[in-house]
Amino acid sequence: MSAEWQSLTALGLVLLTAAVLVLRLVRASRGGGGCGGCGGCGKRPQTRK
Amino acid sequence: MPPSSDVAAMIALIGNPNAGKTTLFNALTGENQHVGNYSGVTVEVRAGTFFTPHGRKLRVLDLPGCYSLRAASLDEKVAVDALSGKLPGEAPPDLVVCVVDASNLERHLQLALQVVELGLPCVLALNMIDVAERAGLRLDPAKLAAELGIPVVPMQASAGKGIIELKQALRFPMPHAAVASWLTPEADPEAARRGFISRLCELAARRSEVHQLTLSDRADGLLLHPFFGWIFFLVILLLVFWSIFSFAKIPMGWIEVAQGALAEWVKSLLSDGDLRSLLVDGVIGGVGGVVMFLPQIVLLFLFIGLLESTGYMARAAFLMDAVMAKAGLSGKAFLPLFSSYACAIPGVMATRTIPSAKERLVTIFVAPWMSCSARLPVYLLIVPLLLHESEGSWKQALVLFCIYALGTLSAFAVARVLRGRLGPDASATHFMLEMPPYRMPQWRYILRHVLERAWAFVQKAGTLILGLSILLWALSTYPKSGSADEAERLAHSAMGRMGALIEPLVKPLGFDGRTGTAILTSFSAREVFNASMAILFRVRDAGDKKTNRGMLRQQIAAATWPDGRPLFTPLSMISLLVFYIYALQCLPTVAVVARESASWRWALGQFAFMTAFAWVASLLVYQGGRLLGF
Amino acid sequence: MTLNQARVGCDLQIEVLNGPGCERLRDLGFCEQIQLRKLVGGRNLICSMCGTRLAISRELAEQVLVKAAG
Repeated sequence: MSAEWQSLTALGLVLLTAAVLVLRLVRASRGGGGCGGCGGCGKRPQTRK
Repeated sequence: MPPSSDVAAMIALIGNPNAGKTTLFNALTGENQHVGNYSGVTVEVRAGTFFTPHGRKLRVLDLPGCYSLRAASLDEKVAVDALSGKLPGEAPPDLVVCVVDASNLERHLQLALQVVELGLPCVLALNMIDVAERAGLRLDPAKLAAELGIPVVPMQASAGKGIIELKQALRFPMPHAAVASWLTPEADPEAARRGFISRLCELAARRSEVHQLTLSDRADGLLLHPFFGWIFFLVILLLVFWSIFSFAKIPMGWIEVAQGALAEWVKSLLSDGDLRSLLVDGVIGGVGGVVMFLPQIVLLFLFIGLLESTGYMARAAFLMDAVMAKAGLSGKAFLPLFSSYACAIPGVMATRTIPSAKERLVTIFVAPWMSCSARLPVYLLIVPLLLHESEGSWKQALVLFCIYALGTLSAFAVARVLRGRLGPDASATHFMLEMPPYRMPQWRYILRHVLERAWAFVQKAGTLILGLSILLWALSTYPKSGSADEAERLAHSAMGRMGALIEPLVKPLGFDGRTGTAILTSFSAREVFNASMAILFRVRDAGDKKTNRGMLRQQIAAATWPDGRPLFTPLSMISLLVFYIYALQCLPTVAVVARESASWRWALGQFAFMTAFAWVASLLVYQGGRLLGF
Repeated sequence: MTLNQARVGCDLQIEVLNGPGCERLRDLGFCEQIQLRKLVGGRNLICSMCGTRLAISRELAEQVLVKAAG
């Protein structure tokens, strides 16, 4: 792959990633508790007040 | 979770903590759940479905364990609400399965009688009959059923025995609600229940001997000894840390080799360029810096699971009660705080078992200072740099132990102050704890749990951390400066400029702009610190295989200030560790705290306090150390 | 005598529960007429009752009046 192609692809990946992360953040803040709400521990809290 | 239309009925599982409700729930529904051999582990209400032998689909709720329907703590209240249909989105159950420990009927039947008094149809699951038989109890389930007026199913949920019989008992038409024959209009219901139970046990559950000194008692003689008990406790903790360092070395080596091989492969495919840099430095370097610690995380969770499963946790809570009392907390706070060593989120949620509202708030406040597993990659990156690799795992284990101890002791100190300021409770609460007998570890559950956690870790690395690594790479590459010098390129990039802005703020703590930036990025997830460091401190293709393998630690050890001084002196590393012990860098935790404490002020106050505290503590350590000549 | 005053290793029978923590004690199984053995004393006590080991605080134990089992 030539250098220009590489730069374009890299930039494309970066923008794609940024879009995905922003979407996740927006969805999470609407859903309450960011990043899936489990803190990366795999446990999902089920709340019933 | 709304019930689907094909569900024939809903049943609820209720019982004392440790009667085996969750084991039964797992056996019925096949869901992966967490079982701890310690009172009060289940705080959530789990739901599942299963089919009876007649093909009907039943929905089952696993209610939190409770001793009575008086609802002294939050999780007991949840159970009571579920039974009376006050649980949002749930109707009252069509039938209640009361799970009792057959070797403990005198105590466990109380709850079953109270459920019958509510007028709900009931089935008694006489669990742990193996334990009862071993204890020499002579059980007569038919007599029990006759006297109680409800079906009684003997079972051993952990071995899968009696499950079919229980499902048979749930066939349609379902049993009717029984009459509470022990209640009379004149007598006090409590006394009536007690009298009935003692008569019943005489008839249908005779004990051969009142007290037997079991193996568990003998073990407790040592493990609960006021002096030796503590020695044993500390030895166990040190052993856990030591094994994390030593056993994990080999698999960690494999991961590093794999990382290097992957990087080489990518380099062979692509010539020098942005994409190659993104993949090798950003993705492989960044994610690798986190995934490398998977073996250690697995070991940690393995040991936690082992300690819980064997029943030792209750003993640890008992020992810790005296210490925690000095912090204004009770032994009930032990499990939530201990869970926080894995992750503060389930720990904060586990505080629902604490009856005292004020103690609960304080526990929630200090829980993040129990160094959670997300900090481990940061600790494990820095600690070996403090001591030379050849110094042996014992010293590293000791340092790690001190890190955990510092976080814990600070938490207790703050808890004490906070507890004092909040004032005493409206009604006094006292320490009481059930100590289950020691058991052989339930390997199936432990391994399942460890795999769950390991998978969650890998998932997080493959998604969030991958995404952030790519972004971080971008921030450290763009805008491009066109210079050949690595340092100049970094300084010109967005990350570099951020670093220059941050540097005045973190220099007094002993960090440069790059470290400061890495710290900032780790507020999204602590593990990202490693990924950021990998990207910020990368050494360009030096042609040397060893350096190219991307050994993060070597890169960091070699890092310098612009004037050539080493960047990471022992003092600055300790300062960094101290910062990570105290900083609250987990936004999901803030959200959960806000929910559990029902106060965003409390959560944000916690965040502000801990961030400021971390900065000040780091400052004191670094500047104090400089003054002392380190 | 109270449960605190009883000697460790003794077989005891509960006579009366007297105090604000009674209800919780009863929920846990500490009822009148129940037999138990005191295993560990001190700040927190451990008793063996109906085959289970139960730990309670000193303050709670103060509310349990016992006599030596026959």
